[in-house]
Amino acid sequence: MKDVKTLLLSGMLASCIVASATVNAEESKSMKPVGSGPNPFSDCGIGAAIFPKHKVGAVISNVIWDVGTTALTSATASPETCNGKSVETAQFILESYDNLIEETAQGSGEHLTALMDILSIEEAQRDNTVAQLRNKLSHLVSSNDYTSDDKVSKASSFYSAIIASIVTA
Amino acid sequence: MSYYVQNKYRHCIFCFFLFFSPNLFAITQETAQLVAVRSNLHKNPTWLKMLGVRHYGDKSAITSEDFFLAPGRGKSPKAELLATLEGFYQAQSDKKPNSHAQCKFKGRLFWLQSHIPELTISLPEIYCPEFDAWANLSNVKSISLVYVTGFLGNPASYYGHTLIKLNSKNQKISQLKDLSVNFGAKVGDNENMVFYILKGLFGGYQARFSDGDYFYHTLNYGENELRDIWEYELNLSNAEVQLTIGHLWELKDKEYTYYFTNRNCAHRMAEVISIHDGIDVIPKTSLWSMPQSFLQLTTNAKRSNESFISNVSFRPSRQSVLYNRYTDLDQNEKSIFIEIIKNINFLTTKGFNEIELVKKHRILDALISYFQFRRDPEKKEKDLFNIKYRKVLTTRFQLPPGTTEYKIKYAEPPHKGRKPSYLSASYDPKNESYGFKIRPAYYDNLDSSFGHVDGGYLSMAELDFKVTEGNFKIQEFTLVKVENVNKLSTGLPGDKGNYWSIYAGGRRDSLNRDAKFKPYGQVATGFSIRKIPKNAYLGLYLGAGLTQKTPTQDALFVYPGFVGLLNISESIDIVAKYEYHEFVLSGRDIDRHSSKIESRYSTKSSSWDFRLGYEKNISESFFIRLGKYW
Repeated sequence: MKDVKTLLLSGMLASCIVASATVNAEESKSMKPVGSGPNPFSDCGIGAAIFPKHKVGAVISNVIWDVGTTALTSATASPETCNGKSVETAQFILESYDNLIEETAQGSGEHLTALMDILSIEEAQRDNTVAQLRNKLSHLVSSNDYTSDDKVSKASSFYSAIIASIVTA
Repeated sequence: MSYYVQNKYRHCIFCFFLFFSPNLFAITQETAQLVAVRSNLHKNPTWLKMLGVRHYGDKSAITSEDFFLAPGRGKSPKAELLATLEGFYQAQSDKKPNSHAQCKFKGRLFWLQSHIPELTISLPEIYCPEFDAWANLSNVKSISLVYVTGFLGNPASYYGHTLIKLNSKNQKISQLKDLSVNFGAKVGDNENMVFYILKGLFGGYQARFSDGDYFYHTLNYGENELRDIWEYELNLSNAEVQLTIGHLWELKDKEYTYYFTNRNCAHRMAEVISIHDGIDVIPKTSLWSMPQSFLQLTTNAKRSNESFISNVSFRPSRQSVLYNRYTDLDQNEKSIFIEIIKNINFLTTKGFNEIELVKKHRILDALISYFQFRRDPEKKEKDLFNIKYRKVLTTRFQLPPGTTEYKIKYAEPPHKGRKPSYLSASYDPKNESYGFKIRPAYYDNLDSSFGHVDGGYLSMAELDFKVTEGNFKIQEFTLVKVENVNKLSTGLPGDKGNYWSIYAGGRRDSLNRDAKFKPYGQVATGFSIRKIPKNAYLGLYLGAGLTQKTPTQDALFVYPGFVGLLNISESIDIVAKYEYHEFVLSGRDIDRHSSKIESRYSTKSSSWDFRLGYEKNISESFFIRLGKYW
């Protein structure tokens, strides 16, 4: 039992050291563009859809719900890794996924524009970014596995694709 | 006493110079307070509205104690005014810069500065980082009132909803990231249905203003709940835009007691908009506040002969996009569309490849909307529509990019509709009786339009009574009646019209003069037939109901029925209904047929209508009715 405790404590200590190192590393490159760091879906634990379930049978017309409160389920996520901009981008992709994938297929659209606004993509780079994004996502969507993937996984792939498209634009 | 008089006159002399001096000069807290009181700012309607006070001397509707600087929760608007000015003159704490009165009460600050301009150079300069980040004042161009239409698929959304959006200046930036402010009740998870209704009606919930990105609302309402969204840009000066934002900021997260019928989103949003000079859009009836009434008051408001609305824009729901995209296809495109729904592999045929690119785009975009509308993403590959959706999407990706335009056919601006309450008088020449009907809200099969569910029926607290030979009788009291018909359906596979209805209330069990008044509860469900002329709808259904048991009649009954709607012209509609009620346990000859046919004449948006009808339920009745919307 004692060994188990020791093992757990050692593990926690090691995690802290790794986390601390990550923080320091992130601090040193705090001016990096949004999304150039880790993927917030996997590293910040973004997963919970924020919308309330349909209250069918309810009578009250205007029930409040807190918008913009997608859970960061990973308690170990550091604020530097999961900085506001990355999380904002990831949240937006997750919640608007269907609109985003359809607009990307079409080549433009309001949600795609909003996403590029969030990512501060220069006007001159946008057409090129969308072209690259279309190319990357075309392969993803044409795969038979696409239908069986869950929404978070699709959103995470979309996130990676747009980040990669900016870098190479 | 002498000192007081001297001091008083000294201030008066000062006030004289203050009012007539062309140049501003700094004033002390005491002088500012004196000027404010002498100007009766504490009695100013805007000040009362900003405190959430309905009448001078009432307590505020806001229950959060931290919204007030003086004791009594706004009961003394004067004390609150003096305390507010005192707070504005305090030095800022380095530790809590955002808790300074100038930061917390931005609306009061902007408003008082507009009435006492000297405050702009007299108050200590305060830094409010939280407000500055939230409001981003320099980037806000205007403010829109957003109206979300009601729909009967979810009873929580029958009457529509309103919220406010701050429109950013930069036209290139998507509006989806604009800040929006919403008002609603705080309801816990898994709330018991009965408590939910009772608490909503009788003030069992707290409510508050909350903020968030606009896209959360467009997704929730437009994509999840399939409700259309209308945006009404308000004609406000820059100072008024600033005042509204400041007021929304000070209201944010403050709590109110919530009443579903009359102290709801419409009422609170109306209070916010009514802080501006010359604008009073708070619904006048104290029993209920309807979002559509508030919207109509707002769109009809004028200042100096200028409309209070500078622009109206429409954001169709996913369902409306599908309907509009589909109806905009030409006949050839529609046949290809249907062919692909039936046989998805048509996308890989030579026949499809040879179609002109623009047509391909139009067909595929309509198909994307269709499959998105029909599929259940949670079922993944078990739902064939997910597979078909992916194939259409893949085909769209493989084509060169290009957007498709489509005409908006199904879009009736809700502000152009009639008023929601209805009062009518009728005469029955056969029985020589007079009838009167009062319906506080909202619509029936014949008069639903402009933001309502077309052909549907939604009524609460409707009272129908008759006067025959001087005798007054309540014929029917409808507590709630909802009838959902999917009249707008395309007739596409899976978009079949459905029918359901619920009824709770009391009514005479026949049209006989000696008929008894009994309570009734009924539910029915069915479907509609679309292979009839486009301007007609036929719903067939089966229902079950409960009523009061009598020695000759059982409580439980079942009934088949139909409802038919015919739209003859823009101004003439007809509804026909038939039901056969069978009381399942009795077996006696009390089973009953009831039928009704009613026609309505009214021009669109008119506040009057004229109806003719025939009804049979053992006895017969003819009626001629004149109705007024209010």
